[in-house]
Amino acid sequence: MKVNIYILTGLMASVSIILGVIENFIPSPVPAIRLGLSNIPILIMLYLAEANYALLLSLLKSFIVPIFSANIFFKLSLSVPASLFSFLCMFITYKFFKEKLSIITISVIGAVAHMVMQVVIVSLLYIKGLIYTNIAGVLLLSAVITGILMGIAAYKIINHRQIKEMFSRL
Amino acid sequence: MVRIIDIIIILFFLVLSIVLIFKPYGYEAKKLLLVVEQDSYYIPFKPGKYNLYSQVEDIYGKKHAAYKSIDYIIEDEKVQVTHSDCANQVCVNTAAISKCGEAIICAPNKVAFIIDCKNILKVSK
Repeated sequence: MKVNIYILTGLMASVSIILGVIENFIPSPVPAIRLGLSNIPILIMLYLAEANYALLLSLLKSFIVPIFSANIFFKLSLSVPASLFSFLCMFITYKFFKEKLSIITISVIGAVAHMVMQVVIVSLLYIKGLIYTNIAGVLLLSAVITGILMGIAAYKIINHRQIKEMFSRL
Repeated sequence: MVRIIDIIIILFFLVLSIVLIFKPYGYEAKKLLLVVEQDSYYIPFKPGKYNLYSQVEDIYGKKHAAYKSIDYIIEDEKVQVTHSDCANQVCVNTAAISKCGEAIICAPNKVAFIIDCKNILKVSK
């Protein structure tokens, strides 16, 4: 039986959004740090489906997750550009270095790009003295660690037999 | 699964983050820099309970308009935000800051407390 790509994209988008909302409730040692669980479905779509569906997923996630969070407009101003920049970086690395780099590194690049864009937006629009603090280092370290963890999770899922079968029936 | 190039890229980011965390953020005396909207000034770094509800007096006695619903305390050379009206509560949940380069940031309110040892504002002594 063939699987409809739009249904699959919708399903993956719901998973991404639910994970994005759930991770708001996961406490972290430093506030403002998030696990990036919602990046796993985007990585899966990038690897197993086509990039345009992964972009659609990224866009849906970046617009819908802030609606379920506090400070909608503040979160939207961070989420949309950061998600798009993160996707762009992951897509370029995947397209040109797919054979050379593992999914873990692509996940780390996505997490770092997401963090860099958020720091740039906060520095430009909200807090101008941010560059004089050690916040960027703490956020970069957390992005690398969470990027590795999410990359491992995505790698395990992508190599799962049933998931592979499902995507092969597209 | 993981190749040498992957390890090199990840190590590069790790080293960069450690450098950014541990790099010296100045050697001057500690000052408390308050950033509110587009304005930034040094505020007294003395023990006590303070708020940003109305005007804030900087270390030179000049008054600045703050009008933010934020309470903070200074105790043992540590700054801690105790109340903020924003829904995220990131600044309230941030641990007390005391070292050079550390900051408490409330981005939705456009407020930041920064421990400055670099004389960022280039204030003459």
